[in-house]
Amino acid sequence: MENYLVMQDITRVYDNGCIANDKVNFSAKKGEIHAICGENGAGKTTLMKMLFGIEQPDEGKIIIKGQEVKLTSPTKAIEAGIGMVHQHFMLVPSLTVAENVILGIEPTKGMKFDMDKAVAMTEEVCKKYGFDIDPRARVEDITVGLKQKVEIVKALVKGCDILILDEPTAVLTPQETAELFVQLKLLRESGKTIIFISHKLHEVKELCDQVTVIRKGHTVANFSTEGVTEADISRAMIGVDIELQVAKTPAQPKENVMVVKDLVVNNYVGKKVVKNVSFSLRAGEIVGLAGVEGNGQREMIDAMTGLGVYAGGSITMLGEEVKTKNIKGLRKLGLVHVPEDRMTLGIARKMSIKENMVADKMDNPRYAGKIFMNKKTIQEDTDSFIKEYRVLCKNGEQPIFGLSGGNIQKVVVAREFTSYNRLVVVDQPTRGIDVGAAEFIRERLVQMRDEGKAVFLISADLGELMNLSDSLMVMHGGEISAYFPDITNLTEDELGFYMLGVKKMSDEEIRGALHE
Amino acid sequence: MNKTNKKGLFANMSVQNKHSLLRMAVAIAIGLALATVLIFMTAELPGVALKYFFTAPLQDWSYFSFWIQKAVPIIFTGTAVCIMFSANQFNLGLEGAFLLGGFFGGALVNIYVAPGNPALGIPLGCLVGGVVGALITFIPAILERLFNASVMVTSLMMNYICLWLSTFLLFSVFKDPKTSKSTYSWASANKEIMVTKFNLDNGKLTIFYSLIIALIVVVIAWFFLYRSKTGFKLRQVGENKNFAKYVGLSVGSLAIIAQLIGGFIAGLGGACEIMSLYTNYRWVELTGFGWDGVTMAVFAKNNPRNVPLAALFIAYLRAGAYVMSIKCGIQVDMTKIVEAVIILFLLAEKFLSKTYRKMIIAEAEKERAERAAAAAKLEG
Amino acid sequence: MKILLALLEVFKNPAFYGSVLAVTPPLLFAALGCSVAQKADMTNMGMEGIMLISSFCGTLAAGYIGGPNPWLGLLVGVIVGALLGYLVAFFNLKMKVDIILVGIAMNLLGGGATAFFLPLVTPNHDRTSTNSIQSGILPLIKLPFLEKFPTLNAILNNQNVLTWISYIMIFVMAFLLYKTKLGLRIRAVGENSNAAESVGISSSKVKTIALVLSGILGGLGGTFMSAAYLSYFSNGITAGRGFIGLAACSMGEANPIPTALTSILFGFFYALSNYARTTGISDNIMKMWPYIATLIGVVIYSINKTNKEKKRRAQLSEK
Repeated sequence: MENYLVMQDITRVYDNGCIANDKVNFSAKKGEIHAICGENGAGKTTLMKMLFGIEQPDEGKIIIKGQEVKLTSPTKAIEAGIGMVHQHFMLVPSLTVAENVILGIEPTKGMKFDMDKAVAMTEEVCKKYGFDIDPRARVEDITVGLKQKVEIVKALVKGCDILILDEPTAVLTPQETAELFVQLKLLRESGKTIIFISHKLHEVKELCDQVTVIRKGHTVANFSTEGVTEADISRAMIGVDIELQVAKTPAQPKENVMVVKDLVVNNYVGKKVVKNVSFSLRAGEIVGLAGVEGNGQREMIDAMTGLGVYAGGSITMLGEEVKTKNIKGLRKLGLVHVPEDRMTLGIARKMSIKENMVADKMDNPRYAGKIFMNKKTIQEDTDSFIKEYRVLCKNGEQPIFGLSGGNIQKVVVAREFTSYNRLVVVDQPTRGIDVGAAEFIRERLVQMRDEGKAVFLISADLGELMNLSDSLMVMHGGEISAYFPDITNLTEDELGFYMLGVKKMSDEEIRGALHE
Repeated sequence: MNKTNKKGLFANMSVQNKHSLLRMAVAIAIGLALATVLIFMTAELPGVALKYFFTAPLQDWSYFSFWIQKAVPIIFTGTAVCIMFSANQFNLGLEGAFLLGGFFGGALVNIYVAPGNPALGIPLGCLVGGVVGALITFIPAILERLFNASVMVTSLMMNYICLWLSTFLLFSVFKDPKTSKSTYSWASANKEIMVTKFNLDNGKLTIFYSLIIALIVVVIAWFFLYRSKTGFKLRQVGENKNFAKYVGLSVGSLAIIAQLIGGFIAGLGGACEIMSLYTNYRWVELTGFGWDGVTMAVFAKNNPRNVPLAALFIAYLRAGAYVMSIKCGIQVDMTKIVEAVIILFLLAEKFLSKTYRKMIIAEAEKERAERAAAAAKLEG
Repeated sequence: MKILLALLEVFKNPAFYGSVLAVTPPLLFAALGCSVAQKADMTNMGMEGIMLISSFCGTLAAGYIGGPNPWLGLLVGVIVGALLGYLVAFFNLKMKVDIILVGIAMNLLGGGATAFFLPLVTPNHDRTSTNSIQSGILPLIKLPFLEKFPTLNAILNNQNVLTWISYIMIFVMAFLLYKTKLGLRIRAVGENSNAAESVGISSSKVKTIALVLSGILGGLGGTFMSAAYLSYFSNGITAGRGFIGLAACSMGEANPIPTALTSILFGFFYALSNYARTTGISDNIMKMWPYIATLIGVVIYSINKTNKEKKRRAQLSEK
């Protein structure tokens, strides 16, 4: 059969010089469910944004039904028969289902907006494709699963033939996922082309006909799901590219600094995303955490660092329950945290480098008396931090937003590492920064470990994880799916299997992560 | 010669700062040009009117004093707003704080608590005024903290509650029956302490000691925001609330502290204003100084250090316009139009954005050239 | 006790309710104007200034061209209001000035420009009000059949035509916001502009329309002051009514009916303060009440909203 949709040699370069897509090729047939797989940051979302007209490719062609199209806006994409269900729902909570569904193509009767017609339109689509939704219910009152259905109906009502679903199951319960799959299969039968973005390989195997794998902005594979195993897809997705070599001696773990026991965390809609996780972090050891984004790491780290709450179990740091402390109290105990989202959480953009470096140190008598800041010490120390952490800047007075990503990260790292610390939580410490800065930060982490700190390293960069970690945990589906006390013989393929849920260790092996 | 001077002054400035300075200069130029046009459109003798408008405060000691007097209250409220805006708290209750600060601290203390005793009355008046002012801004602040009620709306309501409360108290309780709408007067000795007059060149130079209090407040506020640790924390909250939480600050309490301080300064300003201008209380409408505070903060980019300059600028316009209105019959309200226009252009991010891009590109090219030159030198 | 009896006397007087209806319209126009803008997520802080300028321009048009023709004043007031609404939208959406600060500048401009031009454009160079140029009063609606019912007669008869329009406007705005395509888009843009953009709706266009509508309502409110409440313009004629509108809108969650009810409550206290002298209560105390009521109202509303949100979360997580 002819290819219904072809994306040919698509290249997209962002303003900061990052090449998100490099001559990506993708094609899909009518009436198939086609998966796009890839690690975080591989370029899947960018590709789909271009297909939905949110961004434009710098090079390459998009061909639908044999005709080249220019998709300069979502409106154009909708006209071309493309519908998209975004990862974050594009719904207006206080409006009814029907109103959300027909937004943008509102039927009218005279001066009035025709609600009956809107309901009828919604019901028609629901009936045709087997959705069970009350069109008059308010969106804010319905469950997440239903909201997603509303999004799909919204696309269908506009007559889309190509439906893009961006990680649709991330927010769903297993029951809701099963239901969604039934419906997607129905849509396939009626001739719709569905593009399914996911890293849950068993779902891809179960649901999809074809799978295209993208890695670092390139198309690396295109399989029919019939002939491949989850392990094959996993191998194509996960790759360790750079051989990193940070010299380090074997770890000499000492006492527990943080103990996590049977931890349960719910996300903001009340879904259980961390399920009875137990492990401990020891002084003098770097524990790595691998896992595909969205498997509960975010919520777990928020709970551990006091930014979020937890519903069950316990987290203790040096014997004190984390729940009973505020962030100030935790920092006093020696918790420092390099957050994943450094631009919105890690820095105050308009403040100077100097101010950013001492933001958390105001209760340290070295930097401030009862009332006033200790200007001279701050000046001297930040100057030496800038030198020590090799922050490239004119001087410490410069506002931080003028720095490059790597230098901003060095400022964050400098602030956290120079505060009193027993436990260092670093989340994606080298993402998006230059090689030199990354290497420097990695060396510092090892040095911190040698000084007897507990280091918890969360990273999407497997090379980094395998090079730096003394022991490694893998998180999948809100649980620890593997624990490697020693990683010398671990291969990347093996790691990928655990990350993508192809394999899971026995409970006994996993329990090893908790050192009594 | 000129060029090198300029280079010396601006050499260490970032492109952003240069551009914002340029934008400010252009905005002020537009405002003043507008004023000139308005005067030409309306005055019978535009030349004379213009001369009064632009130079009057410098021509005569009494006008000069008038200029300074106009600057004092807006230095207070401007500083107050700077502190609140630095913590990103949109509390608009300063009108009420200023008014009640003047009523309780400036008037009632001097009439009833320390009659004929300026040594006690003035400092106590300042203190009471400040505390009352802080109380006024505290109410919306705590309502937001406890119930999440919009601080903007509740603080606006507070202004009117303060107005009618003070009017009620004035007319029903504290009015001097011999007057139509003012309280009993307090000793003029108090006023002599707050202001001193000198006869100079047929005019009277009036020294306002409230100006000195205002400047002290500015200095303290600046030290507080930029040198004290609480001020630093406050600015972190204003800059990025999530960041502040992440580094371990208690965001809610700091937000309240900012508003308490803002209210205190405004109330103190009200007390000083009453004590230095009058010997009895007679405000029966909102003064407008609270809103002026917002204008000041916009001009001063939320830094108290710039407030006196901003206040002197606006007060100069107002004093000039006042003299012009007496001599040429042009309404003083012209300055409000000018202020509004300057605010809009000062804040318009997109205004002169093309020039900004050009400046950035030029800067980048200059840097590249410098680097190339340095590299060439190294090789050579 | 004496005061209570006197109050009772006021409440028994039908003319009092008539006066409630007669003082409410400018508050109502302002509140409805703020609410349509708020629904599009634009806080129209500049309502006060918009009302002032439209009132001023309306009076001049009515007095000079119509000699006096209040209907012409109404037309001009509304057009000026719409233009000012557009100006607010322009500075916020195109020039990226914070919406609150645009509003504050607009109020400054309103107070300044009207007072500045007043003596320049009036024949006798009036300084505080346009005594020498009158805008006239819009016609009163006479309902002769009501004369048989003295109570109703005192309340409803001889109200200004703009008063009636203001109450009709409640339903017009409710219809507009909840029953039309435009209203749907305004609400969608206000709540989640990304969602609206993703289906091809231009949020800045919708926001501009909402602010123009807000300006038109402000124009009606301003004209009411000078062509119904009084028959001329005077400096600061709106006396904070724009801000009350903002508060009423906040308390009514920008929904026309609750917003209108809140405005009427304010009108009630306004009227009461006019009647206060007959009761022996200070009118200043009475004038304070609308604001205290708003303060309490906003708090109660916020508590309710927080509780509702909590409940919904709990329910959703149970499911």
